[in-house]
Amino acid sequence: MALLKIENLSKNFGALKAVSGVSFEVRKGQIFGIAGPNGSGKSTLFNIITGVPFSATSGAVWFNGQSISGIAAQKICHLGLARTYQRETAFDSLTAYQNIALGAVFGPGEREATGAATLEERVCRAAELVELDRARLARKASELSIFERKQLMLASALVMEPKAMLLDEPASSLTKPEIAETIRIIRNINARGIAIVLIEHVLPVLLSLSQRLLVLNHGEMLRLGAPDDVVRDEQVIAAYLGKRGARDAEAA
Amino acid sequence: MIKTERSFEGVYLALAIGALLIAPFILTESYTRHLLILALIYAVVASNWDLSLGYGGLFNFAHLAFFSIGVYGYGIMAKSIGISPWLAIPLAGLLSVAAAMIVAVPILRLGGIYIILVTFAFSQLVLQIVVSQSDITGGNMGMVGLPPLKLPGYNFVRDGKLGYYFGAVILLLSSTFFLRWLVNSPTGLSIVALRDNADYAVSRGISLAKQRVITLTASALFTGIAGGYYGAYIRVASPDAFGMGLLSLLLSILLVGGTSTIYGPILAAFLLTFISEAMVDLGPWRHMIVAVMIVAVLIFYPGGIWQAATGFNEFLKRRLGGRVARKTSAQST
Repeated sequence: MALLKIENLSKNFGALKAVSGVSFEVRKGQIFGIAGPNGSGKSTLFNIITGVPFSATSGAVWFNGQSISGIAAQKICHLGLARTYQRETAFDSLTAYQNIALGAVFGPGEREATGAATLEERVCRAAELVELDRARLARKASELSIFERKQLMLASALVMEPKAMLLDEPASSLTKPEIAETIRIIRNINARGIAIVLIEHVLPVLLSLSQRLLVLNHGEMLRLGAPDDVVRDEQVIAAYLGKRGARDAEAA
Repeated sequence: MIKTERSFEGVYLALAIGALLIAPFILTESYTRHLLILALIYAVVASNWDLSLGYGGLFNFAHLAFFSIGVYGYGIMAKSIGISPWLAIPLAGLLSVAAAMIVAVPILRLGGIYIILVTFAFSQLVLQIVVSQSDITGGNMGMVGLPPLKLPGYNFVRDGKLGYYFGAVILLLSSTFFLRWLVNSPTGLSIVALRDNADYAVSRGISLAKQRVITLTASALFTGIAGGYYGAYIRVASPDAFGMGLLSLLLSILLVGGTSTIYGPILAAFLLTFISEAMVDLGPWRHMIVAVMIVAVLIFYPGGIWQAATGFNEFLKRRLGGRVARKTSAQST
């Protein structure tokens, strides 16, 4: 059974069709990649799935067998669907610890938090899983580096004990070693049975992680399939990858 | 529960409480005591405003209305209905909480300037109700001769208002402990989170509407109680309590003290009340000098005097830290 099911989802801004008739399914524990040129509606898709900051014009979203179209954004999060943002976002005037703790306290909603773990244990476990240095937890979020802020954003999503995570360009503006670490972190998160929907421009990340790949163009679905097939598709090469990109994709 | 940096908060609190206990025995003059009592009450009102305006980032201009509702609530309950003043004061707090719930509804999902407009309109509405319902509120004349606070055999106004002074100290302490507890709790952190980035906060499971109601009602509780206490002390409820004079005084206490600190506005309440009073002979110059001071503080210390005070604290920590480090290195060699 599909964990996340998107049916004919569309979002219009006036005459502009940002997302148009997108449908796909993500199974439990799967890593599902989404690619496409800038402005092809990838982030808008995440926005309308999670209801932050706006909901879809038409179409339906099912999560864990329940329709989540049009319900309050924090309730979607309580059901176990967590997201991160393209820009490394944090509550800047709070410490890293407090950032994660907020996710731990408010994220699960009415769901019971796991076992008898204390708040501190849950926060530290999440930080450990994203390889965020424990000594940095007492720092203000605004004092952390870009990579640490990305780790922090992942930890604050992870601590909510989600069933699925929507990751919006986790590897953007990172160095090569940091990208390698990000791939490892996402694998570790996925190994805990959490399904992942991944928007990414960094091809090695996308191709080494995704089991299914969707390419969007002008808000519409260009191609959906196994990553190897998708990157060889001529339409995908023409619209997104380009010839060099296709060679890089082969290499990856 | 949630780790914050180690500080001297406890030490400074103990010193401040000590100073508040000794102060009335040094400052024995009746008028000075009066100023102290006013400063204590203003400190409560301004520090609670800090919760919505500073921590919450909500430009809530209904805060003074919460205070006035406390004053009038006390007047109506204690004088017209005849409820015991000791009961009327906490009930005045609950009345303000109810008012905060009403004003919270239209601004649940609004932002920025719209919050100012709605809250300002709300306080004007309350003022017009007070002025127009003269049978109950005394209209423009206000209510006079409100019942004072008394214990069996002791009127609080005796011994140079000593009873009112210590009552106000207890009020400020309970309000401050409540506020500090709240802002360090997960609820308080979620209020700051919504201010920092509302969309991100919602996507971490925090409800904007629910936390906004909590912010406003929590900030109204002790404000209304302070209003009730003010009514019992001044023994007058007048429409002046809604006026621009008090509003600008409280706003300058909040800004000069430093927002999102709780302690800053409390410190500034004493400072501004006494500085303003010390210049009372200067006539209109007083307001101009205070205005220039406010501008100067905001230019040189945008974080208010609390920023200056924490700067001193950091300096002290470095000095003490340095001494400890030298000691340990001396021992190890």
